Amino acid sequence: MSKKPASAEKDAARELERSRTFENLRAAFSEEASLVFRYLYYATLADFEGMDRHASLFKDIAEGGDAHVQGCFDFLKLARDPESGIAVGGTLKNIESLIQTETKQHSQTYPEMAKTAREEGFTDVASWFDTLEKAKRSHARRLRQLSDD
Amino acid sequence: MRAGSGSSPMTERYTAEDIVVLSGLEAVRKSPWMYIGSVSAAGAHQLLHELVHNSVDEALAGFCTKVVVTLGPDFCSVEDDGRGIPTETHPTEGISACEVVLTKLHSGSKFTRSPDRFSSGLHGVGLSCVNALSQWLKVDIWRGGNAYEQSYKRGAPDMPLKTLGAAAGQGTRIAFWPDLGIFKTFSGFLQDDCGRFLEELSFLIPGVEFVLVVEPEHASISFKTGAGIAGLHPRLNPKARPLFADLLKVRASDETLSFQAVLQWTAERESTISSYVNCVNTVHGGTHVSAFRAGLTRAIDRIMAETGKRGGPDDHIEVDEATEGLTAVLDLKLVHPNFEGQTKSRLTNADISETIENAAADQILDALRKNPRIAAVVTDKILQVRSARIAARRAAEKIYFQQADWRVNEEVYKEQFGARSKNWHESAVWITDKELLKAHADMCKQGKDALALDVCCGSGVVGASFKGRVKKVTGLDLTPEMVGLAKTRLDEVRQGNVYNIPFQNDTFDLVCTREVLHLLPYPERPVSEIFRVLKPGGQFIVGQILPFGEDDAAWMYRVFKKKQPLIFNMFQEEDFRRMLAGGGFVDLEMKEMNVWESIDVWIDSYETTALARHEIRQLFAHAPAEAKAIHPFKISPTGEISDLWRWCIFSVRKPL
Repeated sequence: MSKKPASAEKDAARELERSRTFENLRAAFSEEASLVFRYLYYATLADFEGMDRHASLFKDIAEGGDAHVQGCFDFLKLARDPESGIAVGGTLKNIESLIQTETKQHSQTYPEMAKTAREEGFTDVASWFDTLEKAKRSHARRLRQLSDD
Repeated sequence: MRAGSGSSPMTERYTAEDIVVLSGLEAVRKSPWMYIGSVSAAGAHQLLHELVHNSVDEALAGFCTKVVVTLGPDFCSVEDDGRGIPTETHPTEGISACEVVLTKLHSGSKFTRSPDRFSSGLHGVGLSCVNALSQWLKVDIWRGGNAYEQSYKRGAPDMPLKTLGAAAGQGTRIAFWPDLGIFKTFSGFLQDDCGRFLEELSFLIPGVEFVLVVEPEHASISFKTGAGIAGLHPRLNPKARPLFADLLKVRASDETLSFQAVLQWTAERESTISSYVNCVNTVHGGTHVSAFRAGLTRAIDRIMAETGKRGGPDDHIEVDEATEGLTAVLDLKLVHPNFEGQTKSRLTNADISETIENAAADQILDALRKNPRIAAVVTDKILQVRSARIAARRAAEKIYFQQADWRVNEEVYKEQFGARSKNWHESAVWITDKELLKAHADMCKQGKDALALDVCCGSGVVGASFKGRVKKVTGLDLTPEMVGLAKTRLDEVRQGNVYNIPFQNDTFDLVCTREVLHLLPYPERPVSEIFRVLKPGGQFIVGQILPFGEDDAAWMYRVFKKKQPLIFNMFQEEDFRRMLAGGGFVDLEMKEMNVWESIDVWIDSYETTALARHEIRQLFAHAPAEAKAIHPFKISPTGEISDLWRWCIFSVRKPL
């Protein structure tokens, strides 16, 4: 073995990044994350209906989903943050990754979504996207402030 | 004893062998709140409740007919005529069974699950827990022809159980005083609280007498009734108007349980269900309440089908539709109750569901079939609930549908605000808040001969606040009912649509509106209509509730949209300024005013479904930290919610 361990790691990361498995991990990460919140949403409805056992099973599964989501990220982070493309590292680096996503959301994603909703006549949904846009703007600002301090 | 009248054989055997020992007491003194919830004065009252429940268990088992609670200046005692705590030496502990019960945590016959049929004590930690947290405690027992006594200090016995000699009768008397080192704010038991507690028990165990004696006056009050839980029912919601006079009843029993319920529907929206398991108030419900609600819904679904009031075979009634306005008391006596947590607020036994659900379904259906008049008022009420629900759900859909050709469906607004007009002024605090109205009027810069228009005027209170400052106030509203209301306040009122204001260009010196534009899709269109009817130099005053900032807006959006499905915009200050400027207005001034609003009143509304009300309460209970950081609200210990609303009142001018 002539390679140094550090570069062997880098090679492995590059290989993962190019693989179909990386895309699958990314898909699993999003799906599991969204599933957690679907469970929590349905648990609230079950609570209201007095379906205690359903509600408590939904909440238990949602709680377990935490491990499934984070477990996907354990692999993804070996390559990079799949959303920002920035390598996962120390907090000062990670904050850049988050600022990038929040910024993209408030400057591009939500304004475009709001525009489409208005064009299609869903003005309340448009207002919801506007609201998200501003929340994202606030998040990006607060993150940047912390990172500047 | 009705509770004990099930089929399983009851044993008279209740001796030292029946007491099982699980662990010691130090833990209780170390972390008392884990066992009794808190070390406040309420915690001290919990000690008394535990003692009373111990006697109640004897009553439930059918061995006790009278419980006397005596409140003195420096003592409190609970005496019953039950079998007396066993005095024999415990087979494995080598001390009297009485001492085991009073000093060992998780001891008590409840853990043997045999002789006592229904029991309520604090999962078996009851008596020992009280003893551990008492400065002193003295127990007297009359049993098997003898009298016994023993005293304790902070849970430790002063001496072994002492036999005092021959004595007639049976029973137990425990006197104690809470340890003031633990209950630092305790300053005596409250007579009213104790009285209410005993009276409630007398309804739950009819025939057993509960007496409260207050020393040294020796004043006594006795609670004993045959009324049963029907006697508790009127206290649930005394202000609610019942839809029919007689209570409906449900009963069920098998070898493990005895269940009864009384119920009635009222004109209210909320449902109030009070539930007890072995005389303990299960404030968070549980399986017994769920099963009852499910059975009741089945009965309603069936009677609606039988009376032709259901849409079709698949058009089933939902639980929250069937229970809207329901008031019910549920009383379950159960052999082995399992609760969530030490406070026993929620029952978790699953195997009881079928019995209770079937009994509720069959008996309520039977009662409704036999009383067609009651069936008619109840099913009519549910039809009303359904149509309100459907209207709420369809409101948004209808509007979307109409969006295609840029028109707004007036019917949706007319339907909703027409229904609300009946109690419009009671439907929220802000509507008639005098300071808020004055804040709008104070923005007025027009002369005495000005003509004013109140757009979407509702009952006309905003326009009326300009009276005396201007010559004439005209109102405009879409809803005929609101037009009628406004006519009592304004000089002239027209019915019409704000997207197409029925006045010529340049007619008014002042236009005002309040908390309206968020309800309108494409709000820039009514804004430009307002611009059109204003004379050059005319003033537009508009009040709107806005989020405190970017970080509470998403949360507020959800709260407001759940309350009112017709909300189309959650404006933030910058949006609102941009919209007014975009409409051609100039000279913008803004005034802020924060007003507390009762969320409970606000959501008790035609357009807010029971589910939405539940969700709104949850949104306040679990509000995100970033919203709470900038948006004040209060939740009282009894669950009432007050929210601080940030009113922004804008004044702009049409350029000359």
